[in-house]
Amino acid sequence: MISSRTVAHLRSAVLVNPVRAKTDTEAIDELLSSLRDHPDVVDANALRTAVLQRQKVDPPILPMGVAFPHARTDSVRALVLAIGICPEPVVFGDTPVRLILLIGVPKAAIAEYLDLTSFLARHLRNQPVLDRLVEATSITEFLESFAEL
Amino acid sequence: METEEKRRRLSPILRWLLILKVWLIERFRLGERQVTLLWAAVIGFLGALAAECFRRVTDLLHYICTGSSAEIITSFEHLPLWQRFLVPVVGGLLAGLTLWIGNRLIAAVRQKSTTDYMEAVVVGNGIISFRASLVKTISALFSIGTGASIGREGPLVQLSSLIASLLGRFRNSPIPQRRHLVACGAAAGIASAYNAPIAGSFFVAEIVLGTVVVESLGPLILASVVATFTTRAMHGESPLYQSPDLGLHTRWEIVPLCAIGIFLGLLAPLYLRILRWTESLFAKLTLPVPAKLALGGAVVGVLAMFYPQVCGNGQGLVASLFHQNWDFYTVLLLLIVKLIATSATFGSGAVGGVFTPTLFIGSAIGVLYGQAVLYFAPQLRPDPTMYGLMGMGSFLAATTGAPLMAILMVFELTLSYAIVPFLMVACVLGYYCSSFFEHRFMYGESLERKGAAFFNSQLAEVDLVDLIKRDPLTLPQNATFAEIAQNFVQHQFQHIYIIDDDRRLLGAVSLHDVKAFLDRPELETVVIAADIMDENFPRISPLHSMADALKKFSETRSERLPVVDNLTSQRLIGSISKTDIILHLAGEESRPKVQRAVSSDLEKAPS
Repeated sequence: MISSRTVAHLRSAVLVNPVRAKTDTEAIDELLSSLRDHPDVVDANALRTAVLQRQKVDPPILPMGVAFPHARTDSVRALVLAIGICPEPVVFGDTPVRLILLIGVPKAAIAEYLDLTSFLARHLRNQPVLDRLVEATSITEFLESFAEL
Repeated sequence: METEEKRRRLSPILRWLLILKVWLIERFRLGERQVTLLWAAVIGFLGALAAECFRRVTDLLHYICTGSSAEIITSFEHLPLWQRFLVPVVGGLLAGLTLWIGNRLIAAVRQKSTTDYMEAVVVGNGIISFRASLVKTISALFSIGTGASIGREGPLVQLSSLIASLLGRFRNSPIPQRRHLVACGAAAGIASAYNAPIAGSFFVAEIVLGTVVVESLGPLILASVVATFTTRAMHGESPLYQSPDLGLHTRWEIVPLCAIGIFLGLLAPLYLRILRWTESLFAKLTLPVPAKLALGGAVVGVLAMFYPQVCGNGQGLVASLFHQNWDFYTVLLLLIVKLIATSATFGSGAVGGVFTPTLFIGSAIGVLYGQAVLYFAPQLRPDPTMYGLMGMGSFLAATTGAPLMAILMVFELTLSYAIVPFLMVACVLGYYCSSFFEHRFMYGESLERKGAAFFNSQLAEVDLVDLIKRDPLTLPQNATFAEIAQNFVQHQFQHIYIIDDDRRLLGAVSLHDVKAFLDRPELETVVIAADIMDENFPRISPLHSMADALKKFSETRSERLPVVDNLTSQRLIGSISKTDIILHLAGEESRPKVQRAVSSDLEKAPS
């Protein structure tokens, strides 16, 4: 069951396919650059700093190859999401990652953040779903892969 | 990696426990105030048990000394004259030796606590010395078990206050809460001694705390009620003094009934001065403590040879006063000998209370007054028993400076509602008349004197730092959602403080924010504390005033706030609860009176 709020977040997400970066930081930068002109991003540099700082503390990675670089920061007005698909896995820590979901959340939106993260973390543990997601060429296809659940 | 992830996950049992806890919190909202109430109930129960133990040991000692298990006056009536004299003397000697040896042993250990529950509540830090209390209790056992004219309510209150103090220390409670728990112990002691839960709580509120506010009164009432029910389960439910049906025979009787308050209000300062005078007389004697207490016992012994009614606290004597039609001169004689016996026992330094003896003295004067009214105005058809109860109440109000407690106490001792309206007038008049001549009431006087030493040692100054509870619940910013949830299960707090390696406060995770996501195990390894903490969570510095701290609480729903060393470095040093601040501020209402009196004593004292 997908909440309408989660669908809205996924629908407004920016898809980067393919991600050409070779390292985790380059991949994050590539996704961040796709958000630079997003209307809800107030300060892209501050968002970058916050995401990289969060990565230093404890990078959130699912063992089947999904990374969630994210930050709670007031450099965004509303939750923003960039989805990166890596045809060539990018290594985050020790884990080769095929799918990157970069999330920027306003500080006050704890519930929204937990809702989205919970949804993604629950479904991206499912290998067939993940396989379908990395094949998506557009946000619509990406959403359809979830809709089939 | 899988193993690491498994390790970081919360077990399903813990997760369901946490969900259950949140469900309970949502429905029952057990805050710190409610927890204090629960502890008050525990104190009430334990206090009543301690009081019962003390009673039984006293009865055993009494049996050993007199060979009788009857009420103390009856036992003494059946003793030969030499034994009537010797028992109180030996009792006084043993009580004195206990104090003398005990105090010498304790003096070797530097004490940072008090032995007096009133000091502990009003000017102290809520810590009552265990060893010193034990010494006082054993000494009181010897005095009371051998017929000294002193009340056992003192040691009963002492014991239950000690238990409360130990619980406060066990809980690592801050000073205001420890003080409040000790006050609950005192209320439980009074309630179990007199089967009087309302008076027990108001005794402490009015005399010890000096304030009647809901925040502090609630736990006092609960402690008193639990103590009373525990005592009633062992001794039955009847009031201490069964009074016959009382009422007005003519409307004009209102005049002498109210005037008794004025009469006893004028006599109360005299009684207080007699007590003080005998105390200073004994203090001037260059005798060791055991000899002084033996001398006090000898005075009681000599009187007991002719009037065994002087023995004991006077409880049996009050009952006889109301149920035996003694003539004017018998009552007058018993009043005089009891007054001498009580003054000698109290003055000699025996451990115990003067509350019950005071009840007798007030009742006896009241009965005498009633008999005088009957003699001079027989058309009013006055019942001296009713005047005895009025005398008891108004004398209590006039000597303790606590009219509300006196009204409630007499009502609960007799369970006679008919007398209450007149009793209220008599008690208030008694208090006002007495306070016109006397500013140092029975308990306040001793407290001011003892309090001076405490202020001198600077233990009593309470500011924000003293209210801080050290070692609050903390986690690092990379703590997982599973760890956060686990800590919420194990602890009763609503917030977990997040700190860095230098203990700098980064923010707080609120149970309220995460409760909706507790059934989502997928979050347990991907979300950490830094993702969900509130970086702007209000915090207090020890440099803040009490008023600033209260203002901070008004900005949040939290019952507890973190305390940082200062607002620049933000190092977490503890947490502070709203209840503690309110309790402290409520207590401050009464403290200035004591503080002023003590300060003036200190100014007068030679340097």
